[in-house]
Amino acid sequence: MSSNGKNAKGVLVDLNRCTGCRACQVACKSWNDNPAEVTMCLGCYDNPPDFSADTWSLIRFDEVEYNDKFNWVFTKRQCMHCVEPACVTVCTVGALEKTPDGPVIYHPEKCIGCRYCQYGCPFGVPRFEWDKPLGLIRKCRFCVDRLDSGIEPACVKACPTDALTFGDREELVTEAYRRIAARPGKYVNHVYGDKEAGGTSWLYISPVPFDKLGFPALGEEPVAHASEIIMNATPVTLTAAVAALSGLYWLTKRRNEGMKEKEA
Amino acid sequence: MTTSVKTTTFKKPSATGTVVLGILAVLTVLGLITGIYRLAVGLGATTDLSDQYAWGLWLGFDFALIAFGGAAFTLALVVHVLNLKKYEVVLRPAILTGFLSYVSVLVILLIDLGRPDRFWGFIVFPNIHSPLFEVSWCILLYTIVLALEFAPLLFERLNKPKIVSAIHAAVIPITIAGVALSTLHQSTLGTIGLSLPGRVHPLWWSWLLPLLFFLSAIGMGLSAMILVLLIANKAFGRELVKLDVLAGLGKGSVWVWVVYAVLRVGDLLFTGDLGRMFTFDTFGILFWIEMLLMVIAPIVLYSMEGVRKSAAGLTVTALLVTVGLFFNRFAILFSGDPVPVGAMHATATYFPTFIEFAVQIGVLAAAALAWYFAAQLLPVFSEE
Repeated sequence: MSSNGKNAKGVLVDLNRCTGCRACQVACKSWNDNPAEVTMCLGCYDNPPDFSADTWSLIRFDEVEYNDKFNWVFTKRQCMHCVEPACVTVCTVGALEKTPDGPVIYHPEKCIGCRYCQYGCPFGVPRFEWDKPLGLIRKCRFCVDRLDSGIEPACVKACPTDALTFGDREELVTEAYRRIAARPGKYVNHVYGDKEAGGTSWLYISPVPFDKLGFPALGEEPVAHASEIIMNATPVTLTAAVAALSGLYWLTKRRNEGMKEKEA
Repeated sequence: MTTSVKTTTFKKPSATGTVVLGILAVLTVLGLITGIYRLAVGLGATTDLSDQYAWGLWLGFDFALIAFGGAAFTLALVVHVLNLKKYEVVLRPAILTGFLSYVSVLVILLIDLGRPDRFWGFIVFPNIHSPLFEVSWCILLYTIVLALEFAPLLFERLNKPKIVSAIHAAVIPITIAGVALSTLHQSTLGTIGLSLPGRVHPLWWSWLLPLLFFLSAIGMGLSAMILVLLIANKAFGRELVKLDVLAGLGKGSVWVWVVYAVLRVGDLLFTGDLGRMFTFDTFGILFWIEMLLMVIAPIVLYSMEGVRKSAAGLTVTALLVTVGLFFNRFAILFSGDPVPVGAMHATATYFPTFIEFAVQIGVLAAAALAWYFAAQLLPVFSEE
């Protein structure tokens, strides 16, 4: 159903370039008018510790050993803006929409707060306003308003080290493999998001395997693909059910009448 | 047939009965108060739900109660489609049970929604790819069907024979519509599991989930009526429905569970996950508890003549199936991993709060009370 258009946008995140300065995180809060959160020390540098209704973009700090020494790996996380998003497939009321330009956007006026998207998303992105009597879902929207004006997302604009590269997704995939090929010792040979779950608009290249950074191991099929196939068969199921039931009714009625005649 | 008992005049309950009714009334009021409080202050303040565990006790009960309420479509199938008239005495109590199960589910869903004020959203904002969209529509339409199937009881009581015969004339199309709608949403609840491959443990995630959900709803529906009617026999102090009729339902359900078992194990064999059955980790053990209670117990026990002839034996077996089904539906929803994004934030847990329990128990208590009074005041157990 929904998928990327011809010139769909994407962002390439080069984890070798990220210094963990969190300028992207601040820019996200500021552009989207999201308030700061009161947090406490959890024994790590992640702050806030996870996505929330008010935090759509986040730097994750992982301590990983590679090349025989201790290293920090900083990972900017946000909505991956899947090419075939599970949240869009499962949303009861179609409040989530995949636009041809790439962003997965949310229509709060449709949302009934069932939270199926939270369960459906393999990346744990949609967040609910738990503290409100009438809560809604909130998530990164790929700064769709900025994209519509032809400029990059706020987080990309704020990045001082060019760890985030904004452009056409197809070109970014090529660029990602070019960087890996140019310096094979610096990267693992994996562009996360090229194939995962049918592809994502945000792409990652990294010095360490992605499972060490909390990325889920996903196949190439869109997550909700199986259920979509079954759902598309609904008219067939319904017709078959009505036909089978009518047939059964007719058969058993004849059987009963036959039995009555015999008795008579 | 001699099984009919007219119950259109209210009979005073026994002393124990009065105490039980009193407790149910208190639980109902408690559920009402906590439910209103939850609507006033929101989900965060009243539940242990979080972004990691966005669905909880309430949704698990919805899943299980819809299968329990499958009693109505199963008996409609048996009596009107398969034309097994022996079981006609169970049909009206089954419709009552199904109707109250579905109304309970609707009430709980409303309280569980982030925006209960927009519960009607699925009617005007369709997403035909969403299993929950289809389930919502089917439940709406099927509750209307159940109300139509239930209406003759009310109009018989009110002495409006014209309305009764009008509904009666359409009983076959209404029944077929109801069973077809049930086939769809009972199986589509399984499709919800199918849509969450990362959230459902490999011992449960399967392409067959829609079919397995449908079959287990039929099996559960048959046992639900055994359980409900044997409790009712006790509560009313007389045999409302004869034991051999209920034993017949149990015997019939053996075949449903045999087919279920073959599909379930065959599927694990096919996907290569069969070995996980014998790992005996948390989920391996959970799998066996579920198989023992929901599948093996009814196959073995309902096949034994001694069990079929004993009210206690039938009650225990039906109870085992019900508990097993709850295990099954909760496993579909909660066997997977929550999704943490932060590096150190993988410690989220979930345990229902007092309010979650109070609301859930309150709705169930209200349904039990409604069942009792309907059985007292309406011709649930009378024959035309």
